[in-house]
Formats: sequence, structure tokens, C-alpha cells
Amino acid sequence: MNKYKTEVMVGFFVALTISALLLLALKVAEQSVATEGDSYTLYAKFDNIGGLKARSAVKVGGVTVGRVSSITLDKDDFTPIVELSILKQYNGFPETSSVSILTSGLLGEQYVGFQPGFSFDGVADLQDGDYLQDTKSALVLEDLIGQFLFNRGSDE
Amino acid sequence: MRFLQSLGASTISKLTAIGRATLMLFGALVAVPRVKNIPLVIQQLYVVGVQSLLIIMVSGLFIGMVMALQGYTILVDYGAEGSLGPMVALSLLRELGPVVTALLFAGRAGSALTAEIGLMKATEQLSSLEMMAVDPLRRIVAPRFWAGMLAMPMLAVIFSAIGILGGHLVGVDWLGVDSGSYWSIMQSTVDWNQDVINGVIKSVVFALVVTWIAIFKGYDSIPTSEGISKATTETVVYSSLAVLGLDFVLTALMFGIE
Amino acid sequence: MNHSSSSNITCNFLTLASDSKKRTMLKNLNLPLISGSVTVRRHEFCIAFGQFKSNLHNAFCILRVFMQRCLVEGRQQNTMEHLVEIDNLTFSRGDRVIYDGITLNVPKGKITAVMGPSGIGKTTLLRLIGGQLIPDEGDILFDKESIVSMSRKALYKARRKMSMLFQSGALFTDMTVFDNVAFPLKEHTNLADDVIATIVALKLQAVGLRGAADLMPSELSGGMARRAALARAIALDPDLIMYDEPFAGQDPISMGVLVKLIRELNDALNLTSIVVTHDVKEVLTIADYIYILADKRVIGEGTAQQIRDSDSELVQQFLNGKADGPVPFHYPAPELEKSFLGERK
Repeated sequence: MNKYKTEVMVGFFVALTISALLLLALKVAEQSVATEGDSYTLYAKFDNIGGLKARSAVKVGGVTVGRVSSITLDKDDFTPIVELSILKQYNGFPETSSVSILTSGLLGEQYVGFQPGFSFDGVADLQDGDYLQDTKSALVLEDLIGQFLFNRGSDE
Repeated sequence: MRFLQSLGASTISKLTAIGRATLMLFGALVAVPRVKNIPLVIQQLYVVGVQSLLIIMVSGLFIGMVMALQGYTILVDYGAEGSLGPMVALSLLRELGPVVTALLFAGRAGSALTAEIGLMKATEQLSSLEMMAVDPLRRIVAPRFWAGMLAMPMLAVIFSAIGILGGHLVGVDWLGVDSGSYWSIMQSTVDWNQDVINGVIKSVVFALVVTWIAIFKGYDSIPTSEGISKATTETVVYSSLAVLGLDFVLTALMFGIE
Repeated sequence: MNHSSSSNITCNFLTLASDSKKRTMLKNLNLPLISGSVTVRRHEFCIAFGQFKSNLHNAFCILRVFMQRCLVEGRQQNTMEHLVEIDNLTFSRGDRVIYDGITLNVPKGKITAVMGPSGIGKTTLLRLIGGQLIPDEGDILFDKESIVSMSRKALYKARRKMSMLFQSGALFTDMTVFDNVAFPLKEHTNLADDVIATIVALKLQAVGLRGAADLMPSELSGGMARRAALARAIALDPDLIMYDEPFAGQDPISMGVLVKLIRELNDALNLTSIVVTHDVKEVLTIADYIYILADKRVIGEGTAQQIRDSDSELVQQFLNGKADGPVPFHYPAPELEKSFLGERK
């Protein structure tokens, strides 16, 4: 009787743990479970990455297609290299595609906006390990203000 | 001179205690687990796990609710109350879940383990096991150790899950944050490997430390009422300090270096 | 196939049983208290007899225990042997020397008492025999094998042949009396549950506690707890049983019961007993041989009569309970006058 009760309660404990894990897996970390699929890597050189971090999202028209896997500095020309890991299911972007660093909302986090280019004849698709040529750096507030003042100055 | 001597003496006694603790753990774990002993582990899982469930669930619920309340008042000033979900989820999964569970576990189950084993020693039950040719390390210590190692990560997961639900209760149902954004922003921010699995790894490490300290303090206690009360206090103090210290180290290793 | 071989075994078993067993049974018939433990054996082979189907293994186990017992009995009739021999044992705890070269023999099948003033480390002696402590010098032989130099595995094997009754009883507080007695059987044998239940019932009957099987240890009185622990100690039919202060803190009735039990169990189960105590009167009535320890060594030994007749001042002080004598009333201290007048400023 006593033993039976113990076993029932331990069973309940285990069931509770499993349901908690399921909650965490499906409801809390759902997205990242989905991104656990196969991916391929692209590189992009920026002049300035602003507040971009590893694991920031890569989005095409608002749809997340991958994540920033790492950020390093090129030792030759001292520019940041961003390594993008894109899901296999989103392939076939043309070489003329461009990337820019954007901010979601006024105070939101930064992400990589990916604009697929037009594909002509003779334009190949991006392959694993390719560099994206057309990049736009992050907007830095101080630069913006400086530009604005400069423009005001030259107008007058 | 006297200071140096007492420093040396306390260092030596600390080191020998660590040595004895290692030997004890080794002696308990070197045995191949026998099928006969599985019911013992289940029995102990009931004692350390199921009986800690209530305090863990209630604390998890309230901590989640309080965090939602506090976070909301700050985030709403910036119009960023949508980030309430990830704030609650990340702090629970990465820090509060494992740490608070370990602290509560040390107070609830760790002290009980120390007192139980200490009293078994005081009432000669351990000696009598030995005289019956049953190794108390394997019969008494090992099942309790494994039960602690299993129970604590389980409790930590439950704690975090309930805390997130508590945050939902306050943030969404009471303060009116949009339910969709609570979950979806949480989902886009929380990473399974980085956050959930690392949290579980943390609590496995804490489980090892807390259970080990609790069992060793009981096994090594002076078998008098004073000695056992001292051992019980030391279990709670040492394991709390060890958990907080280790938490810093683990956090630095897991999340600190980008 | 299975049927015929199992009935064969039980037949052999019965013929083996009949000769030497009858003797023991007859001898024990006039001991009503112990009749339970006599039936232990009768019942054991009743079970073996009744369970033709699957209990071939159990029959083997019982047969083996029984044959060992026969061998022990046979050997014992030939010579007077010592089950435990302690040779020139020195033991100290920290800086305090507890034993300084004591030599002590425990004859097989007898009750040996070890007496001495409190704090002399009598319990330590039992722990040394049980291999829980390691002496600084000297050797301890159990059944001709050295406990001191035994490997861990061999030590655990040797411990199955001895058991110890602790002063507190040391019952497991989270189990019923029944489970406590069944514990060593479950740990060390593969007997079926119903066989274990039968054995436990008989052991409890032997100490008069069969009715208390379902109680928890916290519900027992001190004397009952000690008897329950005794039932547990004899569960595996050990060769040696060590009693640590069995009479301490007992009322006269439970004391009488324990004295009777120790004597009768020893004779009925062919045990060798070591009783460590400072209760002179009780021990002199049951012990076959007595050692008196004091001042780190053996100060007297012999049968009860020899001890009573001893001309050693120390032994006489101990036997008669004189307050002062060779064992001083005062703990070593500077003289009273000096400590009052001298050191003060």
C-alpha cells in the first residue's frame, strides 16, 4: 500500500517533469527547435555592424531564414566579417542579393535584412561559403546626426 | 605564529575532509548499480523529489509572478512590454530556475538527508549494516545520491515552467500584455541549446554539489545531537555558498564569452 | 525431470536430517522459549518438501546451510577450538592507548564474557573483531583467518558468519519489525518471499515477538527493541554473535528474558557468543568463560568460580563494586590543597 503510493507519486513527478519539458520545448523555445535543421553558410563584410550580435536573426521581408552564427574581424583590412547561417530550405538566392543591418522598431534589437537580388542569365546562385558583395552597414546615430547637420549647413 | 599555525591546521583539516568526501563518493559510486537497488532509488526519489515538489512549485509560481510585475512596470515606460516574455523566460531558465531550486533543495531535502544519515550513524544503524556485511555506502549513500542527482534537474525544469506560466498569469491575464507577443517574442529569443539545455546542465552541477555535501556532512557528522545539528546547518550554508559561487563560474563559461 | 530430481534431493535431505537433528531436537525439547527456533529447521524442510514445483533452488540453499551446520557440529566434537583468537593486540585512538598487548581467546560454542569498567573500550573490542577498526599491532583470527589482513571482499564474507547486537538495538527506523528481521535474508539470500516470511516468523517467535511483527521500531519498548534486534542478528544463523552491553538500562524482567535468551540461543543454535558488559551478577550466571579488562590489559580470566575466587585486588574491586581501590575514585588531578592554595595568586 505504502509502496504503491510512493510509486504513484514518483510517476506523477516524472510526468510533471516531462510536461514541463514539453512546455519549454514547444511553447517557450519553439522557434529555435525549428531552426535546428540543416543550414549553409554565407559571409558578408560590413564597414560597421553597429549592435549586431551572434544569434541575431537574418530576415527576408520579415521572415526569419537564418541566424548570425559568428562575427569576426578580417585581419587584413580590419573590417568585420559576419557569418550567416541560412536554413537549407531557403536556398537559391541570386549572387546579386544584398544584406543590410536593420533595427526592429525604435529601440529593438538589430538584425540582418536580406534582399534577394534579380536573377539574370549568367548570374549564379549563392553557394555555401560565398561572400555577399553588396552590403549596407548599420546606421550609427552619431553619424546620422553628423550627416543631418552637414546637410543643413550646405543647404544654406 | 599562532595565526599561521591555526591557518595551516584549518587548511589541512579542510583538505582531509575533501579527501574523505571524495573517497566516500567514490566508494558509493564504484559499485555497479544492481537491479535490487532500483526500488531504493525510487523510494528516495519520493523523499527528496516528490516531497520537495510543493515548495518548488509554489516558489516558482510566485517568482514568475513577481518578475512579471516588476518587469512590466519598467518595460512599459519604454513601450517594450512585449519583451516581458523573454525577460521572464530567460532569467528563469538561465539563472533563477537552477539557482533557486538548488537553494530550496538544500534547505528542504539536503538538510533532511544530512539529519537522516547523521541519525543513522548516531543510532548505530550504519555500523549494524556494516556488521551485516552490507556496505552502507552502497545501501544508504548511493541511492540517495542518485535520487538527488535525478530529482534536482527535474525540479528545476518544473520550477522554470511554472514560473513562465506565473509570468503569463500576471503579465497577460492581469496587466494586459498581448498573449501572442508574450509567447512569440519569447520563442524567437529563447534558444533550446543555449538557454534550456544550459540551465539543465547548471542544475545537474548544482545537484551534484548539494547532494554530495548533504550526504557527506551526514556521513561524516559527529554522532551526537550537537554534531548532527551542526552538520545540518553546515549543509545548508556550504551548499548555498557553493551553488552561488559555482553559478557565477558556470554563467561566465556559458553566457559570458561571446 | 524437474519433479523427480527435486524429490530426490529432499529425500536425501531428510535422511541427512534425521540422525544428528533428532539429537539436537531432543535436547531442546525442554526449553519452551526456544521451541520456535527448533521448528525453524523442521519447518525449513517442510517447506522444501511441500514446494516440489519451483523451489529446487531453495532446497539447495537450506541443504547447504544444514550441511555446513553438520560439519561445524562434527568438527566441534573432536577438539575444543577457538572461534576468535586475539593475539597481542594493541590499539590506540589518537594519542590515547586503549589496548596494550591483550591476548584473548573465544572458545567455540561457549559464552565468553568480557567485563570491565565503563570507558575501557569494550565496544571497541567488538568493532575490532568485526573488522570495523584496524589495530595498530597484533592479530585477530576469526575461524583461523586473520581479520586484520583480509581483503575487503573476504571481510564482508566473514561478516556474514558473525552478527552483532548493538546497545541501542540499531533497528532500521524506517522499516517494520518484520522487515528489519527480513533485511539480512533479503540482502544475502535469494529465498522466495514466502520462505523468508516463514523464517522471520519463526525467528520472531524465538524471541517472543511474533505478535509485534507489524509494529515500527518507535512503537517498541527498549527491551522489545533489543529482542527484535536479536531476532535480526540470528536471522542468517551466524556462527558468532556479539552482544554489546545487552543488559544496560533494562528493567529486571527484560533483563531476565535477555539472560535466558542469550543462554538458550547459544545452546540451541550452536552459536558462539561474546557478551560485553559491566553487569557482574547476570554475567556470572551465564558465562562459560570470563575476561576482565582494565587499565588497557586483561587483569583476570577464568570461569565464573575462578573469577570469584581471584585474589587480584582489581578483580575484587570490580566484582564487589567498591568505590575506591586500584581503580581510583578520582580522575587524575593535582592534589586538592595544592590547586586551591598553590597556583592562585
